[in-house]
Amino acid sequence: MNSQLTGQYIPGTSIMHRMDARAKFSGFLLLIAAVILTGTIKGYLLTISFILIIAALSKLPPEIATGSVRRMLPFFFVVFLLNVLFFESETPLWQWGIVTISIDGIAQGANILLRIVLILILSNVLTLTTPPMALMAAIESLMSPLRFIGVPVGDVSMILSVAVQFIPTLLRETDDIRTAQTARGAQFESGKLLDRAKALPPLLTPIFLSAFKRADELAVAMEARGYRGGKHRTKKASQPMPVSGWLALLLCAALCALQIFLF
Amino acid sequence: MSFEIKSLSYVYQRGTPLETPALENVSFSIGDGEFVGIMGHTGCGKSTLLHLMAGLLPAPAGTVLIDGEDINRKGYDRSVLRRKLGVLFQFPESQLFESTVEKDVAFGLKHSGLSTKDIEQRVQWAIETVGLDYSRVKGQSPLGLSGGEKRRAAIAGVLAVQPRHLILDEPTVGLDPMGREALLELLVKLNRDGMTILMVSHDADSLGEAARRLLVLHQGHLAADGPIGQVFADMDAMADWGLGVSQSREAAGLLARKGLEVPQDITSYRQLLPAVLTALKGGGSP
Ligand SMILES: Nc1ncnc2c1ncn2[C@@H]1O[C@H](COP(=O)(O)OP(=O)(O)O)[C@@H](O)[C@H]1O
Ligand SMILES: [Mg+2]
Repeated sequence: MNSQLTGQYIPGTSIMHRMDARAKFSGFLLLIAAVILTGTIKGYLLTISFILIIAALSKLPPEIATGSVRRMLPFFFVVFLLNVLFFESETPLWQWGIVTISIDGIAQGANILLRIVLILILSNVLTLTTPPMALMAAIESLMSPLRFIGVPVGDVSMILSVAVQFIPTLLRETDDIRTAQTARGAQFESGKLLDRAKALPPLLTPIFLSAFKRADELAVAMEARGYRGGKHRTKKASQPMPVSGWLALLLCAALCALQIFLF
Repeated sequence: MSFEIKSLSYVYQRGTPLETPALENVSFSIGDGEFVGIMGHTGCGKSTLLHLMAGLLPAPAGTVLIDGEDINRKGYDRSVLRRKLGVLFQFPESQLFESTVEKDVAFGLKHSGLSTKDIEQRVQWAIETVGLDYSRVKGQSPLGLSGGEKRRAAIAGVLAVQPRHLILDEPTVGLDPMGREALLELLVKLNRDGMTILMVSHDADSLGEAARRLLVLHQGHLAADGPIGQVFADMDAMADWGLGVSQSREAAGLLARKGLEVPQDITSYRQLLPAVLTALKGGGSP
């Protein structure tokens, strides 16, 4: 039993909650591009402020918007360290065998770290302010041009939306099984890598079993109710994107452009 | 004292719009060897309470003492807790994962420091205690067992560590009447041999048969705590909390209305039958 499951939608009325999901998702992609394009200190200042403003507009409690970031701190540390220690530089500060410490390496480490953190925060804001089904509908509507090159968009989106609906159930179940096995003496928190690896089967086996069972039951239920594949699906008529959505997209695109041309 | 719970409160997702208070200022204690039932409407916080009592959720407000020790104290050895406190969750069959029943039941003994031979003996004892045929099931995959047998195998896994205290969350849900009978008999026997048992259940009949004391949770508060006969005696209060009483208790009430002098703190059939006979024979005063 976690007190907060990762990446689960939190209802609200903030600007980010109310924004059109298609705009949010496309904006998300544009901002990821902007983060990757950012390379200078001035550029970072702009990108970071932009993303912090978005996070603030979402009115999410900061510790939740940055939840996954804090949980992955050990991973970040390793990534940073690898970059600092093994970046090959012309001007090393200190060298010993293959270990090279340099300003370039430290900058590279910081650069990568900052990008991961920013992208994590963005994806947190996206999934925490958008109901899963709205997100799926947005992705389907953005993918719909692919229909013309033969992609079965309907089926793909059905698969995605079923998967998305399963995520909270699976997370809840993982949590329940982890708790139950902990009560039986499993040690998931033990620091040693080997112990942690050993603790995986008691967790993964029941989860896979239950996921397969659910998938099976769902398939039977869908067939029994007459699901015959994407071509026959009816879809809600899509609405045009509101002006606010276009405006948000324009801002995100502007950030991208600035990163490319100015910095 | 097995358990001492002091002003325990719990809020899920504190600080978010989804904030859910689950428990508010709950205090009680349970002595060694007691058999205590917990009833309460769905969502009233029963499972949360069990998780807190088993140290599976940190307690941010209030304390949980087990055998006099604060289980949330820094430096408290959780592996000791795992060995003296058995926990059986709802639908425990979903925890089975090993390739054979024998290995699965032995899972909790991995870090016990027992010899292979002792572990084998414990496993055999546990499997036989829950009423499964040891020689038949030990090499079988737990997934090949029937529903009722899976539940038994899961219980055997909890019993194998021979915990002093046992916590159960809705253990009778999904069992057929015979499976339910057998489970209750097992719990009563374990309790008679000294195990403290705390059992959450909606099933008033099961609790009426097995438990001697009943706690009622209502919207996160402890609404009642006393001998189960006394708590069941007030059927109106039980109805207010959205709960029913055991059939035997209900029968005692109906018989009293027909003028038969049957005590109203009856909870089980075992108590009802002699009481009715006495009332019929004595024609009134006992
Ligand atoms: N992991 C969780 N996250 C958020 N809320 C929860 C969680 N688990 C339980 N709750 C909520 O806490 C309350 C008490 O739940 P629970 O202890 O499971 O009740 P019970 O077992 O009596 O049915 C309910 O309102 C429930 O919705
Ligand atoms: Mg429950």
